[in-house]
Amino acid sequence: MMKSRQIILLLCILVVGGAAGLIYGWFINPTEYIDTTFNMLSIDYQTDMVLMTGEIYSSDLDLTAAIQRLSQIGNTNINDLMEDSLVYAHEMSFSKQDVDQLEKLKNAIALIYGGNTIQP
Amino acid sequence: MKQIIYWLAIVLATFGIGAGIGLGISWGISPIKSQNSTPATLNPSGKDTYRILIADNFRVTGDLARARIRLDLLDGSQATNELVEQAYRLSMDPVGEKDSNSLIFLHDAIINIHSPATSSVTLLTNTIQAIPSDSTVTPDNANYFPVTTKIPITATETLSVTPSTFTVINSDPICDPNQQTPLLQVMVIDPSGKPKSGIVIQITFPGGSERIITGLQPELGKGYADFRLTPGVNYALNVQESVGTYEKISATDCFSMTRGTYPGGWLLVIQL
Repeated sequence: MMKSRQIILLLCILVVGGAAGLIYGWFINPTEYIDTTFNMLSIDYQTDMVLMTGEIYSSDLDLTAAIQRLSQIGNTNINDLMEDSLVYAHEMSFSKQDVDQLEKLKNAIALIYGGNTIQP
Repeated sequence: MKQIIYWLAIVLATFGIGAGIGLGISWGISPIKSQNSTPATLNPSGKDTYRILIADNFRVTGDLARARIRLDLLDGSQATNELVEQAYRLSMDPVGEKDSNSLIFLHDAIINIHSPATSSVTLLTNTIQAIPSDSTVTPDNANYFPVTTKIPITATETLSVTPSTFTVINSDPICDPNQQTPLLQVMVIDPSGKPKSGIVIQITFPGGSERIITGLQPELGKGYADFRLTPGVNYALNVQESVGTYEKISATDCFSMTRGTYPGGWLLVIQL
């Protein structure tokens, strides 16, 4: 029969092994994601997509198409997505031209939809 | 001694079980959620959407440098092939024609910029000027983001877009008794004789039309595309975004001792 001290020791070893497994699986060799979705993109790429949409909107003034494009990007509502993109653009010192495109699209959406939430 | 080995085995086994449980949790049950992924990891549908967004954006901005960087981040070295492949898929669907055209337009712009022999894109009737921008990046910079790094784009990347014409410089009947269905085989070349991939060719026939794109069978040549002909039907051929029509294409009559009279195809060489 094992003594209680030995059982505690084995439990400690089990915990250490578990911790080692977690550290390896979460930090050293984490799961590699493939087949991700737009809402998993980092904010810089999401902002770039919003910027591309803004540039297209500046040319064709098709707000419906712009909202359709934006709705594919995030799982938050579009107003938040626009706000986050503008904040990021300011933080990263985007060119005035790029910021203007983002603001133009944001204002157009706000004008039509007001403060209403636009869900994707 | 035997007892030491016994205890060592128990310790190792316990550690292994613990590590297994830890890995099971970290890889299977509760993996780290990725909230900072890159376009390269997007699912195929997402990549298609992203590619169309890049192409639509290029169509209005003419900013080829940015478009290329974005495509590199998405598809890496396969960027141009993916453009053609998606354009081909979309061309099968009438609803996807506009997107297909945008993708081909971008593809052609990239190919033309790459090739010093041709400095202009001959696709549209209007003129697009690349918007001078102060933002581009080196694609191999992992921290790069297109809109934050500032490198001026030079005037050499301005696209001059003019309407083009095409010329059928050669048409030969193809009589192959082993070929069950006659084929219209098209080879598209540029003025210097180099094969051109990504060229959309519209084949019109009574009651419908289909599009074929060069370069989708690279083993047969970058400028190659083909189309199955139905005997007795007259076809007309247009090269998209080019002026002119090549008419009265139909399966030709061939003869062999084994098959007797049978329908044959054509090989057209088109120069843009």
